[in-house]
Amino acid sequence: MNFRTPASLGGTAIMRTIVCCLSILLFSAPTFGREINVLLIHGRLHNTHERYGHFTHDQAGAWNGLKPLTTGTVWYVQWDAWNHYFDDHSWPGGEAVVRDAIDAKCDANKGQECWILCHSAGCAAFEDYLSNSDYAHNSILIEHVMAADSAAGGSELADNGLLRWIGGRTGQSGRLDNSLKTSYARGAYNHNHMQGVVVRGVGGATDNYPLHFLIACNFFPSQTGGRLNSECTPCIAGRFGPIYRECSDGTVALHSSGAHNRKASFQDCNSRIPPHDDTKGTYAFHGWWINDHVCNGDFSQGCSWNGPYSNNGRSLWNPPFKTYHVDHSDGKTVVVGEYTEAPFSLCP
Amino acid sequence: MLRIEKNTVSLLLTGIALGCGVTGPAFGQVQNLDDASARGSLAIFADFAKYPPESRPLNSSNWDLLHPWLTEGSLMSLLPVATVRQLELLQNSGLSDDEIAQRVTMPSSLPRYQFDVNKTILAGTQDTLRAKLTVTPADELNTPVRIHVVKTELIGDDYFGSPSLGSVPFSCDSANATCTFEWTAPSADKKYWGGLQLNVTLTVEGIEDEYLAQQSFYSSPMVAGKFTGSFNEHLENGSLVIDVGVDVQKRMACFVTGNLYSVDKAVPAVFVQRRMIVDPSMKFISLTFFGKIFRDYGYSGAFRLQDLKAQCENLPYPPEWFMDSLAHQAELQAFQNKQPATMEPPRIYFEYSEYSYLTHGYSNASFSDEEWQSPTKTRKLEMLKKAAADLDDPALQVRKHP
Repeated sequence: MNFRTPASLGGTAIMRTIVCCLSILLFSAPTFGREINVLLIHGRLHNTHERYGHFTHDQAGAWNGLKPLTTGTVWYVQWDAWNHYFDDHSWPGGEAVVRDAIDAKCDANKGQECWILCHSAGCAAFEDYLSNSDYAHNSILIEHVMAADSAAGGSELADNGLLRWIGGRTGQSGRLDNSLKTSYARGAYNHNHMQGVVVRGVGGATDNYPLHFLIACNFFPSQTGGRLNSECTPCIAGRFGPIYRECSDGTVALHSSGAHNRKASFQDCNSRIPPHDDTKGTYAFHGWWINDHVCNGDFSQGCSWNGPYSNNGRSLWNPPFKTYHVDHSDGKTVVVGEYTEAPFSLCP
Repeated sequence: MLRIEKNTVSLLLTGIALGCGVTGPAFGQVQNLDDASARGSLAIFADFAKYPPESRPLNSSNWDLLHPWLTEGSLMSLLPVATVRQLELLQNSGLSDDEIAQRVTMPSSLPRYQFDVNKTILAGTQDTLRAKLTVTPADELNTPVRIHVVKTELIGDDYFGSPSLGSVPFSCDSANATCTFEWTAPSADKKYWGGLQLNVTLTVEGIEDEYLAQQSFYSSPMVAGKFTGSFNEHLENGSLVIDVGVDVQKRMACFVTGNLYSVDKAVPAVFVQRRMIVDPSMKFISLTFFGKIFRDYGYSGAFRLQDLKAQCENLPYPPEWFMDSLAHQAELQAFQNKQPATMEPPRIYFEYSEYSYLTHGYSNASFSDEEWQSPTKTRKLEMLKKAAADLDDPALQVRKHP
């Protein structure tokens, strides 16, 4: 499943029109009296040719060439997401590289402000930076964070060593994997301490992902009962047992990508972004992409959804549960597509 | 970058919309962006900054803050060791996932296991991990099965080459349905530092396969200091300040945290987190519980401070750089090329302690109702206001794509 680029949308005439519009929009895009930087922070990656720092092109290929449309500048933040922990202060560890990029590109004293798009372990690295930083007292300005398939809560596949079969160099573990164990990731920093910066997550819940035969119904938390998310993996206990639903994107469960404050089974993502105040266990300042202004976990209400904005995002969106029907890599496509298609005032 | 006035932007965007013949349903419509907009970010920060970042309301839904040393376990399947080996062979032979799925021999049902642990962060050489292992069959989730522990092994952090740290003592109940493993760091040697993993190789009664059950935890056998159990309290500008006695061994950047409970209401009330450099010259660390939180939530009476924890960052550079990285940007960038040859785990803790402190009784009116004020808050709000003003134009509420 891929984000539908303009080239895949239709005929030549339509393409010309769209290219015309985009060209005009890009070249006449509004400026805001300040430097807008969009930072893309990648997740677990093994690439021996990767350079570390922040770059204007996807040098390591971590984002598969995806680039959000913006009036500002896109920066690909590249850290060693194989040999270093996400919270490693030594270069090119996660905290060190993310801090360097943010200090360089998100300082309001230099007329800068940032939008952050992160994926998987990149979200853990970003959140670790933010939580441990002096954000509320310094001149860093972060407007918005879009977290795709966040591994900030860790993965059960790291707990039992199976992460080595997922992505990267198949069959081999990176040192990073140790920091993605659930106890490590959740103990590394105060996940609530986002200091007023909102983190909106794209949490994947699907029954279709790599190594499904091995992973499904074996390692992620599941639950039975009413109001289960039908897009999650169904599991049957025994021959005649009840159906359980296990919600994950194949690499992280919703307790991580949905920013829940304990490692348990969750069928949905909730929000602690004001005015919401989920009391069932979501980290402060975390919510789903993207908000509504009516509901607070009560599905019987008529919610007034503002997003998703992209056709791709809308097709994958599961409104009652605030999850997306994506596997672990497809969340990247959703957040880039959403940034691209959202209004200027939300994602300039 | 081209600069244009806001009204020019509006006209330009309207012109683009008309000129391109875009008729998408949302184009040109004013979206209700609610709190997702820059204006919303401003409102959210303003709401957040009613109280200082270091002192926050705490309630029973904050599971993680109320259990600062623990990440709970969950039920997982036991994979047969033979299946894992077969998987390795098939993957090494270059087969695709689908081909492997067809060839790998997966048992029809797998027993499941869970470790119930007392904590997942150990601090010091007096702190003990207790991990109770229970195995249940796949189809009877609540009935433990008899297990036989074949081997236990503790594996050290990858930063030190994942060394074997020896076996882990355990005892099983009379029915062999549960086994409890206990481990305490034998010394402050670095090899016991970092992310450790307990591996238990076991068999399940009635099944021939061998299985591997794993439980990870973080160990900080060396400590940056300890709490002494001494406390003082006073009111300062309408906030409760508790001075916590410390004995600091290393100068480090640390996060000192604690939970304050309302004794009268028997509920968690205030969480405190100080970001600071600790120094061996310190005898007390002051924790401030912000007055307005007590006022807003109606707390009065006596309070109990507990769950003290100090997490310190193992930095390869001076702690001052960490505390204010913007001021030390040049030094940090120059340091990128001077990294230490050996890497180490990122955290060291204060020694684990169960000290708690019961305060005097206070009336609700003893506390200040004033919001947090500081020059840094004012500056941050000004920045956010300016950003919101830049983006607060109906013309910008169009989508970039039709």
